[in-house]
Amino acid sequence: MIQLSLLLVLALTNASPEEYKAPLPTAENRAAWQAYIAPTADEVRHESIAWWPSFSDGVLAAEDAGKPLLFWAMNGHPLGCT
Amino acid sequence: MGRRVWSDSKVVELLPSFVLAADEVWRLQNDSDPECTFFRRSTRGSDEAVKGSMQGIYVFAPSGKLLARRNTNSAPAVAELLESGLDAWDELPEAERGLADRALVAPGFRWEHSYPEDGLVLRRTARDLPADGDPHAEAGGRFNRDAIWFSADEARAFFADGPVVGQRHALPEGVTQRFSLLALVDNVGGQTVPYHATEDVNSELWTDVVGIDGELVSLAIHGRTGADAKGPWLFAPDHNWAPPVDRAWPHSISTTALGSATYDLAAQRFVDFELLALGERAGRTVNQARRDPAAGGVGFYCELAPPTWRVPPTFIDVYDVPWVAEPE
Repeated sequence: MIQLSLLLVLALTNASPEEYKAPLPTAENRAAWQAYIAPTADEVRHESIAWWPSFSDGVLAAEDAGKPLLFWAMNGHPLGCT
Repeated sequence: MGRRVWSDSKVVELLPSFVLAADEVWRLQNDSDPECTFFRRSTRGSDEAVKGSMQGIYVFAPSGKLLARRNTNSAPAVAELLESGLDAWDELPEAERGLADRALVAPGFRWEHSYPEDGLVLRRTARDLPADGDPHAEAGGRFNRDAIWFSADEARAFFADGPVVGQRHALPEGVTQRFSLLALVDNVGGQTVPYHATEDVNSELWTDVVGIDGELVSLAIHGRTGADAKGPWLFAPDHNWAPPVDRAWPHSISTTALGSATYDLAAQRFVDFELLALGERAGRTVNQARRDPAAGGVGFYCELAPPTWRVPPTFIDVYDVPWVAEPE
């Protein structure tokens, strides 16, 4: 019994995070998981702003509009994977 | 840099005073075409390529005159930056505002030029899964977008010629591995590095024709993806994504995928596409240094991208297909 308990304790303390098992997608849970992963409207508010998709497009549009250019630059496109 | 600053009411109020643009900065820092050198001259006063990162929010006159610049996640700081940029614009003499020659910012090579007009463009969202496995939990933390591009021929290869209900079709290896090696990867917390083809682990995706209604072919999508990088970098040592040798860390991912799609045979394109993939990830990479690289759950949702969204896939430079033009 003691041996079993020890084994159990060892098993628990050694439980590697690598043993994490993700839920499986099913027809029943698919909509819920898609809703969970998809960003909320607040999270993607920036996507509803009319950004020109490149620096050069922005400079030329600013020239045509006679306005200053607000330029957002990131490692990875700010409207994609950053 | 936080995307949420663009929801701040003060920032939103100031935006109409500007023309807005967003772009990836690594290319602007390093390439030598007019657009990139114009950016560096405007920001650094030099054509020289720039090491480090020039991420940030900038205000320029169309002439290239830098009016304000800051790298911040703080909405009040961004509002202050925009106000100072407008003040500088107001004080700038008319003669110093305009662009001398439109050719000064002409882009040379851009990956956007290979956008597959007649193909399949997916917008992928990645997010960590909740520890308790409850999809009804409130989603929080970071998420990340990415694009997945397929040519018209690749999109058509999602099902066999002469589709009939009940027909099962394995996706071609190149299509499957675009998901497993380049798209269903752990970049929730920031850009990662691509997996090499030899790091694919038994990925297989297939479709079943579940309905045909006139020209519309309905598909169910099933399968699994997996990739396991032991550590050493397997692409060319001088590749854009090559990590420093001492930071080529092991990392892996595996997912189970389930989805549905509808292809219009007359229009020769998908009119609906949704793919859910749930899985386990472990480890970290140089660009996406998770604070806790222990294994955890990650989920992906792929949907048809809006036609106006033409941001190229992060790993377009390793697609290695003839329809994607490469830089000279």
